[in-house]
Amino acid sequence: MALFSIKFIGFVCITLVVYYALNKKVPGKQWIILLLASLIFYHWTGKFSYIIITALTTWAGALLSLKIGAKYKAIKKDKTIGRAEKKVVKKHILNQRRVVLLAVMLVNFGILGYIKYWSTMWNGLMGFLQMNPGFHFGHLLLPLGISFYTFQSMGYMIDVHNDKYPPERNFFKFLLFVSFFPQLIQGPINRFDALAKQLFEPHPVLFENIRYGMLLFGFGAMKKFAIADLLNPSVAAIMDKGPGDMPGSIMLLGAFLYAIQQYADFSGGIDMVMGAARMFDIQMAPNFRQPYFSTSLGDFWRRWHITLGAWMRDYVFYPFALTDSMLHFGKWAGTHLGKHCGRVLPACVGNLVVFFLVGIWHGPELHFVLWGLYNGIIIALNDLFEPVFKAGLHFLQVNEKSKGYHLFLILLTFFIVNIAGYFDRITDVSKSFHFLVHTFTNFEVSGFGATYHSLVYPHLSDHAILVICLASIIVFINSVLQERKIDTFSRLADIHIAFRWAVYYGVIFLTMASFLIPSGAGGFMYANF
Amino acid sequence: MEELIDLLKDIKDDVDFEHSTTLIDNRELDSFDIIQIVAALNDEYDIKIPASDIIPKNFNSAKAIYDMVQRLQDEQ
Repeated sequence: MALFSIKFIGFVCITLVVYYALNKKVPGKQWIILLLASLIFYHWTGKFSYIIITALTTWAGALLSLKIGAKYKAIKKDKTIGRAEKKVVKKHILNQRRVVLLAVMLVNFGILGYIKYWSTMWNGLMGFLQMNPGFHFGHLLLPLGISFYTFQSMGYMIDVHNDKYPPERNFFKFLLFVSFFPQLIQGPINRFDALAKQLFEPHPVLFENIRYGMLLFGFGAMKKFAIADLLNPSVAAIMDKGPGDMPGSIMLLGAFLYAIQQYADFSGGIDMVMGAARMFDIQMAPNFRQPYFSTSLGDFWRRWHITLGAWMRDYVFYPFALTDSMLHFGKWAGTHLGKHCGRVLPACVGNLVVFFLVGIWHGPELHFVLWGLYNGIIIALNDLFEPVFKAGLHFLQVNEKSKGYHLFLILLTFFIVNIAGYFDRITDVSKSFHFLVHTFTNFEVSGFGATYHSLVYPHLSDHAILVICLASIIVFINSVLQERKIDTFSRLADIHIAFRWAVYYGVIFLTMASFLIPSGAGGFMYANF
Repeated sequence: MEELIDLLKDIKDDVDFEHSTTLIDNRELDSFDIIQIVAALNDEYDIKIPASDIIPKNFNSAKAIYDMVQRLQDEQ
């Protein structure tokens, strides 16, 4: 079921009516409506069995972990048992809980790995070894949102293991946490302690939630249809074509348009699902914070796909960086390579591990691995050479607090993100490198006009450019205001009625206008992950 | 507490550890600092700070760090 379809809008409207009507009759049971709606939504769009396995194994594993942990709590209070003996019991119980945690993770990451990675890895390995085993694994159909709900569930399991909060005892409530329909298409990866309370508490109908949700949904639809989808044919025309004699300037234009397309597609889709959830008075975890205003690649990753970054930080980066061996490595580096290296090297290694995994999270193909490592290496180099950069700026007498330098960093970061697009959008790695080399060795500004006319223009009509530019201006103004900590969607309700409705009509008009221009685009990019 | 503040100042001397209650929220400490602080606290107080304790609530002020160290000393 497409997010912007009569079927989805009708589905949300009916669910909203039943949801708020039930609160008057039986307060506190609205979550049952959300669960039923989520199961219906998933039945229409996904493969049902896997999400049930994830929910069931995680729910049962968390309760088992609690039960084992409770044994120690009883012993801890017993004053007849000595401290040394308690320590032995504690260690034994911790090991048992670790086995439960590992088993649940193995099952769920095993399912994800098998469905998402196995065929590519197996066929790649056989090709590399030039072996023909006589059979071939076809690509399995990826169940909707499997990467998102698996990570969300495993985050919950680790939190329960660490006694961050008690596990949910009601399986159906836990199933709702895993399958809440707005998060199924492309995240965000929600946390139990932030989302569950909202899902299960009573929600009286408030006009502000409906208004805010509809506006956010409409704004996201404009990003998706009036920007991302209209850019799709021209991005494909450049990036899908072999490099040949294409000037590097056109390749960079392709990467630039792809950066805009990807942001509009992913953040637009997230706005739509956040808007849908907000209509039910549920606020999901934010996934974007004006990423193209970042002043470094590290900053970019704290603003782009925030929930995946936060998941990696809490469940991979710190557990890895705080292992005994990494802490020793930090001390060794501090003693042998200087104070600065001792400070940044362990985190640099941690970031490389994280971005390798972020690359793999997107897919098993080599270009995703390289794309992840590109991000990790740039961030590591930026941190390692920080004293050199500082000395250079001091030598050149650059004022680091000036607006000009701030703008320079924003543009530099945007350029670095654009280059990353070569490894993200182009699936053939040798072609990615060819594009990269060509961009710097054969920029050829003089050939830009002719190639643009023959290659890009047929896919980017004047009407499409007008709609894209107008929609982008609205998105840009909104981003500037949000960067200044203004909640634009709330403030819009307070401004003059003429201006308010001009914005509403503008958003609706641009979205509708985009449907008159053929784009050939389909679903959301991140729904493929 | 003074001992702890001295230890923190050895790692990062340009932060007001005596008064700040927003060390993480205002990004006065970054991930490099956190890793160094954890390594120093583990050595100094003979504890092992787990990754699950790396949350803003435990690192937003010197007092919060002190409370976490006390708790871990009792538990471990």
